[in-house]
Amino acid sequence: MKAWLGALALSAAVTGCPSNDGQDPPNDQFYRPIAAAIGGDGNWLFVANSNFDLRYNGGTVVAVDLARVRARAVEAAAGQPGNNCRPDATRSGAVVCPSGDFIRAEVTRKINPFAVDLAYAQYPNHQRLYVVVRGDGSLTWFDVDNAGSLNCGASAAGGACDDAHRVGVDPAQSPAGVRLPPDPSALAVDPARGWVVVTHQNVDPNLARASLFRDTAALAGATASARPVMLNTVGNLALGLSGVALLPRGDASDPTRSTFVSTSRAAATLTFLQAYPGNAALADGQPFLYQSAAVPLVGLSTGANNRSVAFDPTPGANRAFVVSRAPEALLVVRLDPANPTQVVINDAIPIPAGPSRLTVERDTSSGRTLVYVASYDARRLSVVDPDAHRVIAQEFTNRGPHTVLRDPRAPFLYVLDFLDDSLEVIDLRPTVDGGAANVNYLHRVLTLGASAR
Amino acid sequence: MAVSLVGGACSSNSVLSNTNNFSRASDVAFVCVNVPDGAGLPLSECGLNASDNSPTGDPNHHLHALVTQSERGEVAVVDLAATSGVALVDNSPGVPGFNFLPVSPSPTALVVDVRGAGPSQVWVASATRNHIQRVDVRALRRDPRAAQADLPTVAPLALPGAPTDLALDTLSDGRVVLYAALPDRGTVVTVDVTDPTAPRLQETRALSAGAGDAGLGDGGAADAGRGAARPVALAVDGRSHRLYVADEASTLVHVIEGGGATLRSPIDLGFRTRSLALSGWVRARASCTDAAADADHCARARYLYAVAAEDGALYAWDLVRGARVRANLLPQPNARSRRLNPAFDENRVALPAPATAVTALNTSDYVETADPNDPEGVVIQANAPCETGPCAGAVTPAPSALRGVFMAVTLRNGDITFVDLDDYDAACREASCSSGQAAYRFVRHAPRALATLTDPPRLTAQPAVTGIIRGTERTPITDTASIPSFACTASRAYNAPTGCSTANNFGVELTRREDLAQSASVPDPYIARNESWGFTYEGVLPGLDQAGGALSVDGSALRLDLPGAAFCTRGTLATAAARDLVVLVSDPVPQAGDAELCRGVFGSGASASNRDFEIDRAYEDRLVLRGSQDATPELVARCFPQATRFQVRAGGQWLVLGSRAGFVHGVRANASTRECELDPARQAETERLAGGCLVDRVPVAMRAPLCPTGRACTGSLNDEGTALATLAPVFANPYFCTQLFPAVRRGTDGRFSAVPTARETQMTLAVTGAYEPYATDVGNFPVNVRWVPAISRLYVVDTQNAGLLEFRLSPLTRGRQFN
Repeated sequence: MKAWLGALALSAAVTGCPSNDGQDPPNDQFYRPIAAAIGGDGNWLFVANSNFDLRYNGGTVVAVDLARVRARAVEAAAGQPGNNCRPDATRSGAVVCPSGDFIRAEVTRKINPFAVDLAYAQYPNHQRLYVVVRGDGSLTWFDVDNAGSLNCGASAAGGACDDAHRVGVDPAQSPAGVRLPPDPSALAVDPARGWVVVTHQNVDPNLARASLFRDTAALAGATASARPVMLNTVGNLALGLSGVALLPRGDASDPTRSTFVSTSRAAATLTFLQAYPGNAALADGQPFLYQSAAVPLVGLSTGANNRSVAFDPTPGANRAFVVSRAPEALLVVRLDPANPTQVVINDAIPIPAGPSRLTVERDTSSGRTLVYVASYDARRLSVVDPDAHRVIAQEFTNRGPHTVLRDPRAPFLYVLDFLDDSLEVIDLRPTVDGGAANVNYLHRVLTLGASAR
Repeated sequence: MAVSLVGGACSSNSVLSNTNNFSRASDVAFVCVNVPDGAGLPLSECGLNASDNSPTGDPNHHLHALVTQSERGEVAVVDLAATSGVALVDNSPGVPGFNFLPVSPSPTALVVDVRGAGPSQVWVASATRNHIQRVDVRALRRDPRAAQADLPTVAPLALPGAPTDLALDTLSDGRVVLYAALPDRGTVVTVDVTDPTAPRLQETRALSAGAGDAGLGDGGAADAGRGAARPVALAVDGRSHRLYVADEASTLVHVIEGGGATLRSPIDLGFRTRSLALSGWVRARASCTDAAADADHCARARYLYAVAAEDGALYAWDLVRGARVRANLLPQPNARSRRLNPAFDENRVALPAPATAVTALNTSDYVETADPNDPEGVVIQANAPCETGPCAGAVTPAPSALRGVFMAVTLRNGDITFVDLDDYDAACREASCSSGQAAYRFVRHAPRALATLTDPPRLTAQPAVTGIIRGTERTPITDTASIPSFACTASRAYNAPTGCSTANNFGVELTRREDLAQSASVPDPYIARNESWGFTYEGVLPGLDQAGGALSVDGSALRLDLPGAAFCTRGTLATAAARDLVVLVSDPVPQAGDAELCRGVFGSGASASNRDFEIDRAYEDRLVLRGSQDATPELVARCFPQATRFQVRAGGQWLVLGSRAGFVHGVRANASTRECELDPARQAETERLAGGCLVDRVPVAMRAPLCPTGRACTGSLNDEGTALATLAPVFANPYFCTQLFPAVRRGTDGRFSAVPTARETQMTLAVTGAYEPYATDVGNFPVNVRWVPAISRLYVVDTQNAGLLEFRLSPLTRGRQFN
């Protein structure tokens, strides 16, 4: 008996107590991907994996090599399946390939779970990536480059970002002594001035719902030590702020300020936020964010559940596209730059159920503006021509399409599937091979990393 | 889950309709089917019993609704005569769930084509495949997976572009033609479907966005440079065989005749259009004294109603006179061109929300026959119009009773409303009155009134008076002698009663009807609005309680910067007419060395002092303030060095705010200097409105100058301490007029003076009894509406979860729901 107990004690001493650190997230896969942005000279897709169900001990940010993706997509569209890939059982002519062949695993970095949004900014001497993370209440930032590297203070693949790259957690890091309020929902960046605005979807009237950071990397002569700093938060805003986007500057814009427009999932309101660089005559001279207008969205039933917002890139268009869930429609909203208190809903175009995010493209060859909208509940990607007032094409996706992005360098659309942990590639080429009609036009040709079903 | 819906006045009808089988329903058409063999029949063969919706005639003749499912590329078939089981036709019962007829992706429109002899079909347009597809009526209730050997196989007809709308017409020579609008090609094509098994493209008519379509060819060199049109919707007049084409790219409505062969001169509506509908014929109004002077409301006419592409506004065009209808103007006499909705231009129909679809609704009492004396004319027969005398005591038809000629309009906010064109019960409604003075009057082109208007609009009660004694909470003011009051008489001496009562509406004159004699006139329910109005002394301009203001010294002046404030847009004034105030709300946070000084001058919290600053000059993004002896600009800047919360208040004036209208001011930013100024046009409009009211009390020539639009000013006293109407500026807006008499006190020396008014003193009044447009909810997002005269029922397509909704008329009652 004593011998047996002794052996047991020895065994315990050798193996120690069971580890409580959880399982590290994979470096070469998507896992509940929530947001993405294209950067690094347009050849890298940076994806934030949220780890929403806490299967792992953290989320990740990965870099996807778009050059390889494009090449593979062209091959797949031409009927060449490629190594390691299999036919897509749900889409004739498409293939599914392992994401690991396209993710640069060695640069994957770990962040806290529940990332909600991600944005990229190109500065004079820096390329920055920002991820707003609900899990630790931070704006986690990265230095990126044209090789797809992700630098957040971690050295090894899968390493966790250091505290210096997680802003908004420690009030001592902020000259105003503020920290990020709870429930962040979205972020937007003004790369010309380094403003990073985060919205919050809480409905507690005592909590702030918009936060301002400024990244000194945007300033001329910024050194390597330039970093984002949290400046202030704004309360007394509409409940449940959700999407946010930078209002394009027009001739009537004030040259000193940047305007962001935010939607709400709990109020029929568009909130206009302005980032002001501060007044040198003031003692604190602090830049600050404030609400410049709260404009009601009228004439809808009810209009009080809006998500993503994006602006028409056409110069002088002065219109925004808003994803609405009540009703489920794409709203086309006309803004008057001279009158910030006035918006007009020009149109409401029905789209499939559960619309989430969108992206807008100005097709320079046709002159058309197209809006791509992912509908999570309906499992569809819709292509909307706002000037034709209708959906001109639809594509079935995997089970949980959430985020959609347009490749700026090639005619492809990328759809992040939250539920199936995948990236779908949609072919936007009307013709191929010297003018022949592309049978895959507006269809999925490639999926990276679909989970087994 | 089965859902059972019960109609209002009709017996319950427990046809089950499973939920949410529809997927983005967009269009609907109706077909009468002989169920045993599936053959199509004229709609007149299919009636529905009011009690249980069973067929009225042959029990095998069932009326069906065909609803496009734009998301899945299907057509759902609904058996409207089903009395048990499920109304939705499950075309493939062997497959779980409800299965509809597959058609091409993105079906945009469908029309039913029933022939007396020969096959009947449904034509479906697909904007993704750029073709028109034929679906045999006999296939509507069949399983599409099964062989259809007895049905002709007809290949879809390819079109040069994506069709967005279809219209069918049988020409006078017997040809049957199908029109299709192709907006991306700028053309309307004509397809000869006389032989439906061999449809052929007959004509391609290119349309120009420039003026003058007549004489255009089919898109040749002569049309180059004019700019392509975008025809998006069609409306066909089956009697004249004219096709009207809505154009999204121009202000023209194109007119095509003869099966596409002839292009007539277009109609220039002045705005781009998205959809069209032709009304029935309306009779000349017998009660109009001068029909020629007010053709819009009085003449015999037929209208083309159009939904504007830009914003969903609704407009009308008189096809008889060839002129735009001023739908928002009230009938003559209307010397001041008063509008039903002052916020709209005079041509726009006063809908409560933007329109999504419009259709003609001519009830069964409307009968139209060809005029034997006029090849282009019609004879209108109105069955049983109600023609009683005024105040005859007849039973008033309910507002939802619709008999006559109307337009049914679905709205973007999920409602439906009806535009009155020729109400056969109008005389009975106008006869209803309680005091010998009729309140209701028929207004052509106005949305149907929500309530029976028997009494004129009035204030709900004596205006309430409140003030802020402490903090921000309002408390009633009981000592009303110490505050100004609405003037109810031409003068009021010290300690005299106010003379205010319900008889004079407590001093508020609601705009009166001009068509009645002055002595008999009553407030016009079509001009008044059910709304609360607050008069707040030195109230805060809406939107100008802001944080983040930056105070600095500019030269010798104090300057307040807030780039996003939009001071002018929000109504700030710093002129001789009005000089607003800035109140610094946040406490000073100076450097330590200035703390005691600043606290002494400006106080803090509840003991704040010296916080008011007159605005010297106001600009859109900044204000220049006047300092004071105690609070010089330099001191202010030192004591408030941080971003500051401030308010802009109406200086020495009452801010008038409507619960619906908001702050209706007349301030604009000067185009070059961006300085705030009164818009002369807006102020002139206010002058004009003021000139038409309170004329009994004070002649216009004897009045005090007006205050700026949207603000009221307290009158002054004469030397005897009497408040006179000639010394009190008239406040006027489109809805009402009033004046304010000051409160009077007598000093120990016996001299009279006006009692100063405390800031935030507020007088609130509420108006009731005004016209409100009729509207009822029909889902989250209705996109189409159809009237089926054969059964006198209305159907609305909701693209969200509601699906297809059925309504009966007289009274309007919600019926069944199919989704």
